[in-house]
Amino acid sequence: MDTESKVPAPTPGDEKTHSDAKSRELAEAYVGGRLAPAEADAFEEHFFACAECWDDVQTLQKFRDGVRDITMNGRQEAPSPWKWAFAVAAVALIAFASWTLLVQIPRLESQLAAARVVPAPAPGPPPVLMAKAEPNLPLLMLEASRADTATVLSVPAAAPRFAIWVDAPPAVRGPFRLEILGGTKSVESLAELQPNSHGALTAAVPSEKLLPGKYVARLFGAAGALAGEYKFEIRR
Amino acid sequence: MSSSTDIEQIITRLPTEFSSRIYYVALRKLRSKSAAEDVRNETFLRVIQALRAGSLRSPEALPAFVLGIARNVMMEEIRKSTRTDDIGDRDFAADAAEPVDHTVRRAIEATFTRMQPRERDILRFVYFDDLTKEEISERMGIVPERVRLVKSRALKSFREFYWRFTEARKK
Repeated sequence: MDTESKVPAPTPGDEKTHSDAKSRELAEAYVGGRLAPAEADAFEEHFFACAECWDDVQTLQKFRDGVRDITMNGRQEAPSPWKWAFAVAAVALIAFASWTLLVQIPRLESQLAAARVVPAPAPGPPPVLMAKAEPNLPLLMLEASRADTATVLSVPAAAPRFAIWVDAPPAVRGPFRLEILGGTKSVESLAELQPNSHGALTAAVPSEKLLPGKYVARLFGAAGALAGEYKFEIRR
Repeated sequence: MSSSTDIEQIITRLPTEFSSRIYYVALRKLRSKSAAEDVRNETFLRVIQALRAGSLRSPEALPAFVLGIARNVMMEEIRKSTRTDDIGDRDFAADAAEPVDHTVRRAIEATFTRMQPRERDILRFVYFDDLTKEEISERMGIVPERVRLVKSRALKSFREFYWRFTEARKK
């Protein structure tokens, strides 16, 4: 810090002044403007001849100016390794939050919307085993009748199942349930039936469940109300 | 006192030895950079004339001799400015101190990172609030010697950093 150190060495008299200046911290008092005019003049005469005290004055002036500058304008510390780590973590957090907000949440929302549109499949096997188009599938068409007559269906021994077709009563809301009774005992229950494009309820029934005999089919609407009763007979 | 050769050697060394001292003292008194530069230049001219005229008693008296001439020039400058300048033309520099350069600032910041928060408070009390050791010790509940030690350590650290950063800038 000393740029002018080639001033002659202090004389013995100057030595006393120098030690006095050091012990009384005159350089700091001078820089801070706390010396009386006569003392300031005397100290100036000393540091004009003393390299060490001139160096002290320069250092203290710079240090004082720097502390005042930082106090008034704030510090700009060099970032420590911890600050770097914190900065990296902050960037990663921002990136993750952005990805969540911009990518993940919209994707989940679209999945949720799709899940709301498509009803979840009911647990267990489908209640209505509507046969796909099968050639030569026996068809039992149930019709309500006040007469004590029953619709007769001859089921070939080789047919594993037959189809039931019944017109949905127009005044009753679905879904419907078709209960097939053999005497007083329920032999088959077909639930969750919905009218097809022809307004009919269709279901496939395994042939083995309905042995040859007379049966009664009762159709119930959404509220469990009886919507119709049909008699039929199975023959082989 | 000395031969003309010795005088010329002294004259050659004058700027190196006294330039920043004269400028610093003049800036403190006049609070104007341009006036401080004028004082420095005029002082050198008069010192050289006086040396060649044989006015210096001994080489040891040179520092006081230079300062004496500088003070005369400063007094003249003060008289001249108060007598002749229109108030609108005066150079009213707000502060005698030079602007804080980047190296000083970096060295201060590096010094501060080495210190505890309470120690930094002590430095602010000393150099910003201009409190005495006794006032600081009373305010912070510490002995005055502690204030002296903190200042001493801070200045030592500042000198090291300042030297290191200055050398780094030269490379």
